[in-house]
Amino acid sequence: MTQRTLLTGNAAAAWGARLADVDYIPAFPITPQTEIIELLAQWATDGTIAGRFVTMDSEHSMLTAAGAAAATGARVFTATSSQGLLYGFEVLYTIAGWRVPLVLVNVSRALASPITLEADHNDILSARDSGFLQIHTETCQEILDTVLMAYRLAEDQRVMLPVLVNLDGFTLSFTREPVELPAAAAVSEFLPPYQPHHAFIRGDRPMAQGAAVLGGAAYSYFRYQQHLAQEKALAVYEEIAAEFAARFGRYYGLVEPFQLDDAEYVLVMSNAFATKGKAMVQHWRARGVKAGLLRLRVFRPFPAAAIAAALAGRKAVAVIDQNLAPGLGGITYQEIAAALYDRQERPPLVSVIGGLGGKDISQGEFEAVLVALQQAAAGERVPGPWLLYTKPEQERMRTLLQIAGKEVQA
Amino acid sequence: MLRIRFHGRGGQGMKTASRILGSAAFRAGFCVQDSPVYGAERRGAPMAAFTRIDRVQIRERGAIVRPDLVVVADDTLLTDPAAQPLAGCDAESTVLVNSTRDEAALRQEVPAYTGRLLTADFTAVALATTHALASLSTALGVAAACLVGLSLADSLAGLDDELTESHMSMAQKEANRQLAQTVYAQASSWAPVREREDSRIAETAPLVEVTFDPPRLAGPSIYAVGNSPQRRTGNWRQFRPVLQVERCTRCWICFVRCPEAAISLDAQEYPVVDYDECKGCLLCVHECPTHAFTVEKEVR
Ligand code: SF4
Ligand code: SF4
Repeated sequence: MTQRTLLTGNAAAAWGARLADVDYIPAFPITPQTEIIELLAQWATDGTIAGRFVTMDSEHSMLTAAGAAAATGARVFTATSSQGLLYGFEVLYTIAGWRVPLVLVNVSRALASPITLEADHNDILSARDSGFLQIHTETCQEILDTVLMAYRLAEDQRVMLPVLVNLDGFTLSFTREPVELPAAAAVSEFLPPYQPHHAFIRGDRPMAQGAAVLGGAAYSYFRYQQHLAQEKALAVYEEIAAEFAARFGRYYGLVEPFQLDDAEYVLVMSNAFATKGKAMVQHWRARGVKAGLLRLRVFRPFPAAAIAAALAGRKAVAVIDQNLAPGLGGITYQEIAAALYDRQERPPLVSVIGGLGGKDISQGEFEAVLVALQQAAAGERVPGPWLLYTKPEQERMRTLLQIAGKEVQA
Repeated sequence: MLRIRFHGRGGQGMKTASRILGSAAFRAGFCVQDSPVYGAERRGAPMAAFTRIDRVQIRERGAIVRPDLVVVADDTLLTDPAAQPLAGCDAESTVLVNSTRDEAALRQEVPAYTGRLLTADFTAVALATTHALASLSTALGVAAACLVGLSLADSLAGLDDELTESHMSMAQKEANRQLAQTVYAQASSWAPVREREDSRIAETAPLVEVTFDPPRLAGPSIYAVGNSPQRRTGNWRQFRPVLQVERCTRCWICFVRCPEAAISLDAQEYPVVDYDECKGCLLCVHECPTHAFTVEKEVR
């Protein structure tokens, strides 16, 4: 029976693992993810879940254990965040190269230095070339649903790659919202037990996995196969999304269009702050401005065609990146610009940086973005990357610098 | 939408209070969102929690900047620059302060605030009913539920949802339910908080361009030496540990365990509490093997 309850984003992720009936959970704590593994530890201890829960000595060991377990044919779940993801970073490429499926939840938290706790997406986006598929979520319900869909995607024979599911620290991880818990029986129909075909352990079928290769031709072949599997995953994802919607009544596309049909001015956003963008779109619509929002959801494989189709022909588009590649700009902006490059009707693009380190994006900042969109539509060039920052924030920053003993000019 | 902001210190249970309110509203059939925000977790440090209640899906995230109701777990937070519980409050806001002092005395501390200010000594009520400080979360969560117009039945159901997840004894749970009824009755005498007419989320501030600064400014280094002693943690204290020296065996456990290093040793090697720094976490009280500390309510 489905049940509606209040869950934090972290609890929703743990529920995803629980309903997916995972076999193995290697774990290591880090704020703001720890609640996920605390819940799973509790359930493993009291017998609520059958999977084996093991605490590890670092994220590097944790991800190594996760990949190795997946290579034995087990269904594996694990979670990390920020510095932890980076600490285990080399293993991400290794696991993807092994072509084994597992689901890794990342709870976004901005990277040190300076050290902080709140969300931005430089952690998750650093893994964009690792070979992991990557799905970004906006609500607690979506987190749970996406973990289930991620297993289907990872374990599909046309894909066989691990999946990273992202949720924002604090704004989702510790935030409770109403979540519908699907019935376990319905989930196991959607997601039957994992049947490994190429990577498993059986006494009568010895094999070597993750072999070394020398000479670029073998390496090129294997690495390019990861790319081809990612490309296949676009269509596989759409199948899975349609089946999920048919079974559970909730549809999640590769991207999510919000009030986009007749939209002239479009915001492109991802993750929890997309909710704020949607509220602004509604606010602007009430004022008669034809605004819309495109939310990025599946980020690897990159759904370039879906994005280009959604954005082509608009009066102007602002890509709000909650990340920054120093020396370049917004990361998703670069990819979206590339996706639009060969379209006839490519819209003027404004590159905005907002919400770094969890900084709020206030109503006034969104209004400034709308003004910039109107300028861009009128043919004015809006230089980017443009960091959203308010006067009170600047004043507060100057006070902090003064307290730190620095010479700040008035 | 109703936006409720809770301010407390780490350990005072304001995250739980925000969840009791959230669960109560959810039980009543509303869309709900609740979330806490804190830095590196530290008992006694200011924290906040947010509950949003609406009839439709909530399209807001993160901190509440323009609250309808603010609940303050202790009055030392009112003027704390790190907490700023009255930020974003205006003539339409309601602020509920847990305090032994009356409204007039509190208003003197926050003269700029023009909205409604309610106060009561919830700590005393909580201690009288449950003998547990942790039940302040029950008292303030249920008081807030009453103030936003939720029924007693929904408030109790919300409380039950939170109690099921705790490791409390049956007797303690029952005591919390009693406390909830007492507080609800008390809070019923206040007029409920009304939804705002306009949907503006916050004042809008002008934007600025962030420009290049030399690395001496642009790196996160601190040149001012020794400014942390200026941030005394003694005013965080709600309860004070008092040493009964005749029971002390000079084992120094308290001296080693005090997280603020607020305990030093005197010439005879007995512990001495520095009340300018002691934040009142009462770890020393719990750790002392001979129960040499007694606890006194702080009166300022
Ligand atoms: S003296 Fe006791 S109550 Fe005070 S800070 Fe230290 S451990 Fe906490
Ligand atoms: S822990 Fe108790 S007995 Fe030991 S030094 Fe402190 S007060 Fe004395």
